[in-house]
Amino acid sequence: MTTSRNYTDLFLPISAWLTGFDTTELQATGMTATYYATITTKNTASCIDDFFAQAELVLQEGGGDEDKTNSLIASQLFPTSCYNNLAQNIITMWYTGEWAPDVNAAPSLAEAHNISPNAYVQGLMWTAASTHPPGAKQPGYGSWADPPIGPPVDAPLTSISNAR
Amino acid sequence: MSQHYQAPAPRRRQQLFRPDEPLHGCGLITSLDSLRSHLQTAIEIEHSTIPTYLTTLYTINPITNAFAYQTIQSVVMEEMLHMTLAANIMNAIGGHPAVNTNDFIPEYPTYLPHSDDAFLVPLQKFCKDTVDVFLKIEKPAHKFVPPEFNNYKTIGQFYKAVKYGLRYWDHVTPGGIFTGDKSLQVTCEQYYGGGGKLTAVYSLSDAVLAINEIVGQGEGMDGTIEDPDQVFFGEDVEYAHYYKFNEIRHERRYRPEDTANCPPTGRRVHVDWDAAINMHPNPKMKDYPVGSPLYNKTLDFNQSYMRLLTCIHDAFNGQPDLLMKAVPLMYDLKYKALDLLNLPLGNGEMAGPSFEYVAI
Repeated sequence: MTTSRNYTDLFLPISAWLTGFDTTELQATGMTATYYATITTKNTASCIDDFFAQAELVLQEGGGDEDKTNSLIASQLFPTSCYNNLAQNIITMWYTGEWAPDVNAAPSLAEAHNISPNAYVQGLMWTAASTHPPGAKQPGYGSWADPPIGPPVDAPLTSISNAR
Repeated sequence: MSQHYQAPAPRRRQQLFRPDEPLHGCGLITSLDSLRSHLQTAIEIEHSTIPTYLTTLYTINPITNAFAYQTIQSVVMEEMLHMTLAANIMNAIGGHPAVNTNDFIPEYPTYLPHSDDAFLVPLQKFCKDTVDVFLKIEKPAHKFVPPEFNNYKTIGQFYKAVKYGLRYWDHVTPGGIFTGDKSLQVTCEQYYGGGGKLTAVYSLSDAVLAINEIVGQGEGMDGTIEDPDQVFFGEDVEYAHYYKFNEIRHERRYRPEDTANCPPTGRRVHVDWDAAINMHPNPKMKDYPVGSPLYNKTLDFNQSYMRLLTCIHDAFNGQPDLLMKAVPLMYDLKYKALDLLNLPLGNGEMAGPSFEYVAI
């Protein structure tokens, strides 16, 4: 069974609200297509249809207002009974590159796993912490003696409203 | 001068160069200042190739196109060495390398600085046309071409003129010209992992060695290209850029029996010409609306690039230890370029690094 339509146009904007990184930052990881494929294979088509229908409403009603949108996300998308925990899983996926355990699965199937080797490298948690994934994106010998290059830790969050 | 050839360097880079030329041709340079300004050109020439090689490098996958990736990467690291060697020569004769000025970065596509404007050097994805341009950049000089500061056909010609100039002015200047502050030299202690050994320059012979390293790595030493009997290829020999690029172009390695003026005939190597990221050629900040996400990302890249150039400028002008601090900036620049190459423009092409001057 497939979803009633392709939701890639909604996947990035809702991911931006969920992660606090703007859509360009998300695209720059090169992981968008992989992650969209992940959510559609890890969830039923009806779950995906329902989630994005609700996400679209949330974005429309929120109208770009940060507080309003966040509170709509909290009430409409976040309850763990909704959409098989999809909203939380999307956040975990972008930040860690892992697909989180399925809350409704039998314990033996509930293993978290890395989506791909590149997903680990592109995890937003490294950017958020102004560091690099151990074993990848090496920053150069001796760089650990200096403050991290780049924006302060909170920069992606403060720039969120401009980018959308 | 005798006509024997100098022995290859210890690391087995094949460097066959003819002994020093007599002092003819030195009238090309009319003053020490003019010599210094041409060394500034040398730094600019070496630098101008780096954005183009880096851009192409970043459009290919290091795993699925490993041969092309490793080859281009080895070349670009040697260009960074050449730029530093040219700065060392400049400092040795009392000049001041300028790396952070607004006219230092060429506007791509660009002709090689002070060349005969025979071809344009672009920022574009990996493809056969791009490698053809790389071959033109590194094209070996004919043995008998005259030294040429301006309108040179090959970079070797240009460096021949620089060598003549250095030798002449060192000869006619009382006390010599290598009187620059020795503490300005970048030494191998500050330079690691970057395509060969960095030589500090304190004398004419150091400078000649440095130039021979630059030209030898780039196009091979003069004479080898048209000498069909000269055997100089092999697995354990690291040969000049021109031949490295020619291996990519022909998808074959050279064999030890191959000659310099023929294509490689060794084993085939896998080159996936179609696997490059479809980057829009010669991207510019002005392609995007001011303040748009793509504009901001490109601006951010260029600011990182300027921070890097400023760091290198300071390293070349009295703080050589800063070169170590430039390395994290280089990695940062790479990751920002890779980010840009993930951003679709909506027409099937992707954004890319623009390497433009911005104020920081």
